[in-house]
Amino acid sequence: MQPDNDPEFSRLLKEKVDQHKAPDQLRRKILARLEQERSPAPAGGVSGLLRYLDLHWRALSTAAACGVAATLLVTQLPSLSSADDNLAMQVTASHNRALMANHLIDVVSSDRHTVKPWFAGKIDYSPRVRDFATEGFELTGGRLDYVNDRVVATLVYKNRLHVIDVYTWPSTESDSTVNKRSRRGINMTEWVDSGMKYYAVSDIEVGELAQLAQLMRSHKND
Amino acid sequence: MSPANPRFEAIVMPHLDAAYNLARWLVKDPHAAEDVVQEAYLRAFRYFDSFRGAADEDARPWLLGIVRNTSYSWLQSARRSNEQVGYDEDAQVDESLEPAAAMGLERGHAENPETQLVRKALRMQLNSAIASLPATFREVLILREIEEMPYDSIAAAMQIPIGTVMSRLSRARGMLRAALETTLGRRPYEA
Repeated sequence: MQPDNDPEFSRLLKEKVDQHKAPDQLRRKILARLEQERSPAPAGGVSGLLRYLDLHWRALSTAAACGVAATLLVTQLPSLSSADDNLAMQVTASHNRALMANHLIDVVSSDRHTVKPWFAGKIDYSPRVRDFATEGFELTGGRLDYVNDRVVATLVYKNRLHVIDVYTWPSTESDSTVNKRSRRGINMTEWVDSGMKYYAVSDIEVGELAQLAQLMRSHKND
Repeated sequence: MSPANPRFEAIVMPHLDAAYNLARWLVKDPHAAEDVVQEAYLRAFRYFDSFRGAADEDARPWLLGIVRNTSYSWLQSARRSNEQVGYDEDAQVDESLEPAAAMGLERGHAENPETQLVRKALRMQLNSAIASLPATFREVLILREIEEMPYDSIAAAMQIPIGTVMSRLSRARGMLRAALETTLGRRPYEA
């Protein structure tokens, strides 16, 4: 078929219709993110390797890639005790339920001085709340969930288009390093810090999730 | 590890404005458009190897294909969580008109207030009429009329035959003319 040409109409559109220019900050954000993508995370030799595999997936023979990936998963993600497994399952289920039921956020705010007091009177502890927008993890709010036989505080962060739920509650366990887990395409990091247990859950890469965990651990006094 | 990738920057970064403009017109929100474009660039970077196969081909259709997929997934999830993010389609349409108003003022000193008003009104009507078109017609119109892409590139970006691009474009123009004639009460060129 012949194109429907109408130069006069086209000229009018070209002249009048908004052509949005990308903001400068967007260019900077993308370049910074790509820079991160190509250099492995400082603490994560393994996550760097996983990222490398992701980039070069097609280049490797499928069989070899699967073999390497399987080995990595086994060494990287410790097998879970049944109690931990149960907790991981509860947290993942809660995360999925929140996404599906549109119950993402009870208090919408990027201000920690709004989010933190919101929990007061609703639960018997006060979660540490901080925004990491400049590091790529924007605090978008908080909500209450029921996990591990109690009402817990959930902080909701956003990373690009992804939602990250951070569940936190008091714990008698001693401080631990950040453990990484994966369950049906959902990634998790879990740690204990100064009497609080944390579970971060999202579909972003486990390496990126670990970055958020490190940020939260290094700002515990706020 | 793959070396720092100057090739990606050289052939994909120059299309950032086109990527943002398309995302902006599809999701109709400046912040969401930034998120969508950032996500699309990350995907493009991760799958850059799959593009590289084709020698020195123009990266724009390939990139814009990723941008529109990312935009549509965003729209889908935004529809699902409508109340949570406070996404309001009508409000977004209004917002897209602000630059139009600013343009009208810039040119102000050379024109009398009535000409200014007519010019501003036409610009606003046009932008809001395009924003109200169904997404598949809106995107083909933006790619052709604003980005001035050739038919075969649009076909590549949208993964549809060239004939379909032409018929969609023709329908999009028809719908737009009809919408403008209704709101302006006359043919748009008679401004």
